[in-house]
Amino acid sequence: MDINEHKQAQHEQRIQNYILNKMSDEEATAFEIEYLADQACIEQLEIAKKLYQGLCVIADDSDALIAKNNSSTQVVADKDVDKMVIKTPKWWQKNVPSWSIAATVLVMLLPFTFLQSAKNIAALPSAPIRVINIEMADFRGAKNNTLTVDNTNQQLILSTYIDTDRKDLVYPTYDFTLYAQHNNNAVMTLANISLNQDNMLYFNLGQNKVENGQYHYSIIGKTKKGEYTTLKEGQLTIKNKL
Amino acid sequence: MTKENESQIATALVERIQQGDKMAEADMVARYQRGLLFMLRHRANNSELADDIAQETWRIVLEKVRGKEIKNPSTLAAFIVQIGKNQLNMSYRGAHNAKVTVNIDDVVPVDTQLKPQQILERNNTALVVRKLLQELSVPRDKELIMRFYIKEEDKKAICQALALDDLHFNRVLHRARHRFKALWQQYMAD
Repeated sequence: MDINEHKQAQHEQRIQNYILNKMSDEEATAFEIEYLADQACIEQLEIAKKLYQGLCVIADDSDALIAKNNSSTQVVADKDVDKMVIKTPKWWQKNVPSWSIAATVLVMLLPFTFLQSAKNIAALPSAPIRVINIEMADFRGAKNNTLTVDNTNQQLILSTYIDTDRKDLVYPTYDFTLYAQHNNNAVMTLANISLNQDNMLYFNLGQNKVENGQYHYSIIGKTKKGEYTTLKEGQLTIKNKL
Repeated sequence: MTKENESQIATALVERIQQGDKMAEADMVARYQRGLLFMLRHRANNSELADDIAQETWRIVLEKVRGKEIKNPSTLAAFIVQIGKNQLNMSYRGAHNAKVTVNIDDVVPVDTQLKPQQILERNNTALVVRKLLQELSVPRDKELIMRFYIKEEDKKAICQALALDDLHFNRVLHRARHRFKALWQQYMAD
């Protein structure tokens, strides 16, 4: 090994040790002082950290899946991995067709035949979370969509894209409320949600927090003065997994 | 970036700030912000907390640099790191954490407040990593990565078990990170 390779190897080793928290505090501090203004090193650290975090998620989900199912799992085909990364829509994707919304279903180990449209998601046995998109684009005057979700042991997230060119949809914050259909009682309210940098709203309904049943939901825009405008209403059905 | 360059740049920045140069303050933040954020997010394991601490760190650093309280301007990076660490430790002592410990450095707080965006990012990262693992044609390379990162096995033990030398081990990890970077950039650009 020549000197450059040796230096490179040492540098790699430091990055690994730092990311895996294998340094003493003194060593870590010394390394932090070195890399604080070193953009190339920071980029290497960011990549190493992401890789490590991704491997941890895979390892956690594999363990959970094996423990829960205790059966062989089907590995998704290579080509399908490309379709499953959740992408936030760019400006040229404002009118997002529903088939592409289906691609927001996030799975880790999932047979291809289980992929369905976002509006009627069949059982997804292996997915750690489920993301369902609500289309806002045609909300005024259009029929409200009914979302049907199987009640499984997964974290349920509803997402929606706000077209910021439509000023009537843009508010400082938003509320999401879920009402029981039979008595109109509010069962869950998520308040003061802001748009993220990709103009997306995410409503985290949690894991097993909503019982089976029929619900309707509303998304409300709130002004700083406390005025409310209903932007979207729809139906949500949560039923037992088949 | 050599140590001499860093010392010179740091000294120049401090001098300019102390002369009232507002642009120098912005230059300083621009220069060290990414590194500071990475450090705090790594130590805190909580992006929101890290971002808050970073803001507070800059407030204090600017105050002290303007007030000529930095004794050795060439060690500005060390100054910033120390302020950041102190602020983080103070936030642990003051916050209502589930775990309370005397030695902060031994505990890696778990980020239990992941927001949906963060959940998605985590899972997207995992999918990209999965793609990477699928691309690794040599089973031994896959095993090396999983044993090192997940099982946290000792590098020497892995090399012995897989009949690798040190150089080969480093090359596998370097190639994996390089390929992961390319995959990540590709997905984010799409």
